[in-house]
Amino acid sequence: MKCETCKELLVPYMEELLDASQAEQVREHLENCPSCQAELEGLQTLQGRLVANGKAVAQGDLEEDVMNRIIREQSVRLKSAAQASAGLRLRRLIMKSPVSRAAAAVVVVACVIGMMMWQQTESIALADVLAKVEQIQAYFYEETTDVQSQEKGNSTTESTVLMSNEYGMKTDLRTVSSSDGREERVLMYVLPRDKSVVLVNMSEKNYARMALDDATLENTKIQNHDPREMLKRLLACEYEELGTAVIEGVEVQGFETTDPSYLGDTKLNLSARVWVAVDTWLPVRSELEWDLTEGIRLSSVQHSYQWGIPVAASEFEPDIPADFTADEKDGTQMPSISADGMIEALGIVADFTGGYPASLDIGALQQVMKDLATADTPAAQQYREQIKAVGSKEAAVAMGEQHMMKLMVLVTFPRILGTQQADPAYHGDVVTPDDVDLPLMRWKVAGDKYQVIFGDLHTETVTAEALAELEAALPQ
Amino acid sequence: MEKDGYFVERCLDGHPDDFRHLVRRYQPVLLAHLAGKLGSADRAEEAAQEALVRAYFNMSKLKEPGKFFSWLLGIAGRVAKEQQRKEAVRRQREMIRASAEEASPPELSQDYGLEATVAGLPEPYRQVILLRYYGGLSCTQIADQLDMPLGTVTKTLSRAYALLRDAMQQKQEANEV
Repeated sequence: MKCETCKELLVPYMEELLDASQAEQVREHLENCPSCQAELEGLQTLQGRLVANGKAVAQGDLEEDVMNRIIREQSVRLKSAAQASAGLRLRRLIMKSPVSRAAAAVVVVACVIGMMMWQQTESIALADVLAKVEQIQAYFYEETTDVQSQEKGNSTTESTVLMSNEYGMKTDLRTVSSSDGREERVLMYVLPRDKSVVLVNMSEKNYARMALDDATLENTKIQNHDPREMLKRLLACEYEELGTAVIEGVEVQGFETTDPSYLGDTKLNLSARVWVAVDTWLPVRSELEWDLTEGIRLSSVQHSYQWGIPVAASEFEPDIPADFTADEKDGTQMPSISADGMIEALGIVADFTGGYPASLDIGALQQVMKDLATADTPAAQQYREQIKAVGSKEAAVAMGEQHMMKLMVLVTFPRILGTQQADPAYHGDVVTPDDVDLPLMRWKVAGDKYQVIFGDLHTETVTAEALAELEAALPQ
Repeated sequence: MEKDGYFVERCLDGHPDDFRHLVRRYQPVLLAHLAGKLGSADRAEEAAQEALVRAYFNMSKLKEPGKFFSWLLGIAGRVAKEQQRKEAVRRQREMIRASAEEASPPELSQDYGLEATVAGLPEPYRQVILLRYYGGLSCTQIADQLDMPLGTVTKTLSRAYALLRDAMQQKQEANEV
């Protein structure tokens, strides 16, 4: 072996990477070659120093410090994002005139269209997007919801939402009414660990902490249009691919549905779109427009998603200033979005109006609230007296709200059943509280079993066959 | 052993906590590298923290997740330069303030002489030495981590030793003069 070859093999030799015969050759050469021997010793000395230093150099533990710093900086970044949206809100207030608002809207739409450069690229599979999003532990987004009501004028709600699988959901809502420019700011916390909801009204300076049952906790996700739930909904509906576009400088691919079952309804007029980034396969923007009831149109946009961010438990600790007071709802149970909540709400309506709403939608609910003011049932009279008896206007409003929240279950529960494909049906148009044997409402619970709420509000679980018989007895 | 790219993807997919695996993997290497550049364990720790936090928030800009380590070293290098600049400004101010006193620039402590020489090596020699001795990886693991043939790793290592010995010899001669 030549010295040159030997010197080349010294490092692999020291690292014991040579095969047996090569190692033997090197060993033989070293025995007879003082120069290569010296070279090896030099290397071994250096290696010894490096090994010793490697052990000695600060073995400081950075792990916790680094992770904590990341969490802290993340929350600072989130706060500045929230402030940025507050700035946007102020500009909206200045544009009060309907003319400038409409002009601004045209500009915004033009920009969005301008950004959309239709082109073909590799197609994104929505199911994979959902799989990816479901892995995520925590995320943040901003949402803008416009309510256009012929009766009550328009309002805009800007919210920031922080979601964590571990700690729950924190929403900061600012609503501005276009008619009087009034602004209301409410912080809402949904806390699965405490099974509670905390509402802090920054404008009214009051708060309420309400208990929440498990079913309701699960169902609030759909109610709040959790982006993950909404992706699941979209997958369950018929949807179309919209091709690619560029939004906020990101190349995205769009998906759209107009299927009313997206919101668990059968006849709702809606359109929903989600835009997914081509490189990360994560949603960048979601849009939803729907008619809440005749004359009220909602359109909401979720944007500025930050997927997979670190969060600290302290972000989900409600911060209630000392001078805030507890309002009427504080300490009560949140109306249960479940069969029990449904029966309670139907019972309230029957007591107040003597019958059931003809259908279960927001319009019917508004009619019930109007009937409350004029109905001559003992319960309605008693309710009106109670309202008169409470001293302050705020307390009366809070009482009304409590009722309204209970009655909202009439709309939310069937809708959730719809999203679960539980085949719900409601016969309030023909069934009265005296109809002990007629089915008022039913939905599938398992296999071919249905749960039925009868006219007198008792419930039974029956087979599909028995249900068909019960429904055949309904008056036409 | 999972590759760096795996953890980078995990973080980008919404598992920020997996960043701690990368912190654990590279903290000794980073500390050694920065101690060599900055000449103090405290300052190395400060800079290493800063570099890791910056890396986290800029991870989406990392084009090849497999090159996390050399990218991280680049960030650490910039952080170290910033610190040195700040330190130089501070020292200048001090010198002006205490103009009567002879302000001696802080010597590199004896301990970090070798690390300083390592920090002065060109890429990729520096990377391989850092991973081998401060990251505690074997040559085979380095080959895997850097996506390099094993032969290239040992050749790089061999060349790195030669460069280190030259540099140390030059330093020694300079001291003797």
